[in-house]
Amino acid sequence: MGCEIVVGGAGRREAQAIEDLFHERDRRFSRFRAGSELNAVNAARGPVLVSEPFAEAVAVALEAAAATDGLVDPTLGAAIAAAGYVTDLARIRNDSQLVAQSHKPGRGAWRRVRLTGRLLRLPPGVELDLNGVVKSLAADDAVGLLSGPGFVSAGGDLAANAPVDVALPGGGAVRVVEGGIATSGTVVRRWLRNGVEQHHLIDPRTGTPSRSRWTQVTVVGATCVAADVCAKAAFLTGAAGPAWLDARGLPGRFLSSDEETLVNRTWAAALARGRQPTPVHACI
Amino acid sequence: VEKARHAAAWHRAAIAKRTLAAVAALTFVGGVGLVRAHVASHHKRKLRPLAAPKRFTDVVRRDLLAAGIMAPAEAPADVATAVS
Repeated sequence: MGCEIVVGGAGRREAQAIEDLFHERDRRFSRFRAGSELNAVNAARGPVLVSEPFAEAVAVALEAAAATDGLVDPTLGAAIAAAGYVTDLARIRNDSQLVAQSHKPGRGAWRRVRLTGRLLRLPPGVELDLNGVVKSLAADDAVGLLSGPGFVSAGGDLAANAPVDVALPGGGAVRVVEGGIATSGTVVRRWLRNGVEQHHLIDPRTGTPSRSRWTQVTVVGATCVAADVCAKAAFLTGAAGPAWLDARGLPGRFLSSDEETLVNRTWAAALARGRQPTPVHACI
Repeated sequence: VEKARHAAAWHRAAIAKRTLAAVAALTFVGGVGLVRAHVASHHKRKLRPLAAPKRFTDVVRRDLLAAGIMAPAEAPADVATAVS
């Protein structure tokens, strides 16, 4: 998946099982492996019978699209390839001669994806990119393999089954008591095409990399995949991102391009509650 | 006279046949309507493909928008959240 996996609280066997799980997900969902199931599905014409984990990931991705009104859209595979993300990030050349193509998908193409059990049918011309949910979903699944308290972090998307203190981008830390935490942004996965900066967070409204005012958005969710989906949606929402999260009761922390840090009301309230002294009940 | 009586008889018979056919058709259509409305095994409205109940899908959707529980850090961080 092109990221570091950090595991806390795992025995040797559990650590091996978690490593195997991430390798398996990478083989299945990578856009850069010729034999991956994702590439086979995208190349298929007509309905295709997919594996159980693939069907589950598609179902979660479609739910994410529905929950975010299409902001986190799994049907942007062609758009992200058009922006130049066609190989591992380490191999992408910042080539001034290469021009990013624009690929505007049909608005709401995800609504026309049909998944019935394991039978999947994509609308013509639509390519799936499930990276919006696959990594965080794997972190959630991996933490389920732990027999005791611990956490699994996949490139900073963290799922925990016990309280864990997590360092935040730009400094500071927070304790995740329950659920997961994820950060989405454009600091790492970016490259140049024709002198213009490109990145992997595609705005479904334009089909091109988002021009959000934020560089990084961190969200604490009930699960890692919830945190990841909401961080992406808040990033893509732009200036209204903090209010978008507040309206849904989600804590979010935003870093802007001028290094300004902003937290939304829900984040501030959660920290304020945590600082209050524990009430003492006297028994007489 | 005989011919006129035959013609009248044919006419009455034709009317009786048409009346019987109309009554049978009305009885059949009415019967189907009544069966659809009252017999449990017959669908009462336009059939729709099976799907998860809306309440269930709403709960799943809410889960993807559910917040975790957070508090101020109490110790040096064990791990960092980073851009993905």
